[in-house]
Amino acid sequence: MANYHGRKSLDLGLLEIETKINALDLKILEVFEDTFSSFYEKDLEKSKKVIKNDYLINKSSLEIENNSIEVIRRETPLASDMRKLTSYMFVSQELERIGDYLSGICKINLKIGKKPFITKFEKIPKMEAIAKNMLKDSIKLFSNVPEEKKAIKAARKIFSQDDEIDYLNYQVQNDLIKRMSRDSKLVEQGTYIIWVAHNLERISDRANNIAERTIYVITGDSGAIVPYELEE
Amino acid sequence: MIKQKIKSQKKINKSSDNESNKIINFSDPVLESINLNVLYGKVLAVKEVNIQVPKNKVVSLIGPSGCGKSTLIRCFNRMNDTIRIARVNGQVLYNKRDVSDMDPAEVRYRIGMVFQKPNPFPKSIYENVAFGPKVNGIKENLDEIVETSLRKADLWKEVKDRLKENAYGLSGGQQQRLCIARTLAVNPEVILMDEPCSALDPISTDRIEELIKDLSSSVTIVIVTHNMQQAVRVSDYAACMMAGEERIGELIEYGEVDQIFGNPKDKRTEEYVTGRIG
Repeated sequence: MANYHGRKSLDLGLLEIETKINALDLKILEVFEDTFSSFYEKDLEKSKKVIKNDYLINKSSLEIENNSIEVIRRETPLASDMRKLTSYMFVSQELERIGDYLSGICKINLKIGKKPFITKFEKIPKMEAIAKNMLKDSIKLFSNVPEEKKAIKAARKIFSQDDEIDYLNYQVQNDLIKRMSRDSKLVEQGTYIIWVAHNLERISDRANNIAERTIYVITGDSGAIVPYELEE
Repeated sequence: MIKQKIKSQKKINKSSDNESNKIINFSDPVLESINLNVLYGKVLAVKEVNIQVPKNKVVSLIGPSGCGKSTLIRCFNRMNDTIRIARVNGQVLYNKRDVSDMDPAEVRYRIGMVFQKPNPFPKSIYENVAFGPKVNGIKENLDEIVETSLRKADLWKEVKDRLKENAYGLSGGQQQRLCIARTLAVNPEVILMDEPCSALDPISTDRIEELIKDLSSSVTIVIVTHNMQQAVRVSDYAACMMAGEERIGELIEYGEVDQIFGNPKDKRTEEYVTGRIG
């Protein structure tokens, strides 16, 4: 059975997009680190840099989307190739949104400025560690695309952390709302910190989506992951 | 927020030679092959094909060159009878009747065929379409049959003022639609199409594809195509054939078109539709 040489251009197109996604992955992880180090250390210049450079993430995401559209148009891919290409577009948008959440946290840092924090952070660093792990694991899963069983195991591990981050987010909100209702001077910063927790919770959701999308690339079943309540 | 988990029962089978990948049972198939083997001389060309074709649907046959697609559809209307060294074992059923027990002429007007290259007769446009009905002894309403068939084939408007002209004066795309009109003139229940667009330009191809979709409300169509996007566009079901090392063609997967081109179960189908083999 002769090899069909028509894949050369398609394979090159896929490789080019994969390389760009890998670069965007690294960029997002770097921005994640910078966002939280600037937040805890009140390094406003670093926060400004993250905000300023957010356009680079948006640009990379758009490039990935445009490259994927170009390869789809040129190669009219089918089956696993089509699933990969549509997923590249999806994941690049998820990464772009994560960049926005991080940039949002930096904007909050600027708003809080040099004023002392009203709280000793306990839950936020926990949320940060979980969200970062989920993000790292999901982009590793999407980049490596292991065989089905390993992928499902890895995806389960990512999803299992979601409940914890949701609960921590709820606790942060609850604690701060209680304190703000007692002391109106805390309202401004309290609200900002609630937004930081909210953004972390959203980042973990996007990480979940990336893991979910990996399972779709492998199995071709967009319904492979279903909400608990729908399954029952 | 939604808590999520993976459906553990979901198992994707990407293995080869899984019988369940190949079989779809329809309640009332118009065509059916049972353990069909075709030999050319001593060479086995197609092995143990079991396939059912549902009524008023479009089924595409895909696969690399030499995998037996044309051989298979030629069995459906006994076209292989015309090849002296061809031998067909197994059964082909047309509405539950074994085609080998039917008059070959009857088989071929009930199951018409359109070929890769347009092959009109060297006669007028009118005579081309009227030929089949005339051979079948129809003498009345020929004008009406010709007009209706040409309309169904989306050719009437272009040729209504030149029906007496030679069909060879038509463009390739028009000639192919004329061949479809000629097939339709005897009211077939099934039309077999062997790469009907491979000799046509994109606009003519588009018109034939539109025609296939329109006709499928009243006619069953089996189409052999190497153009996978065409198969995606026009068909309801797709069957993938493949020849192994011994060059014997087999049916490896049969399914709904979205599944075959979106998420094939057999890894060889996946390799074929993604251009890794072929």
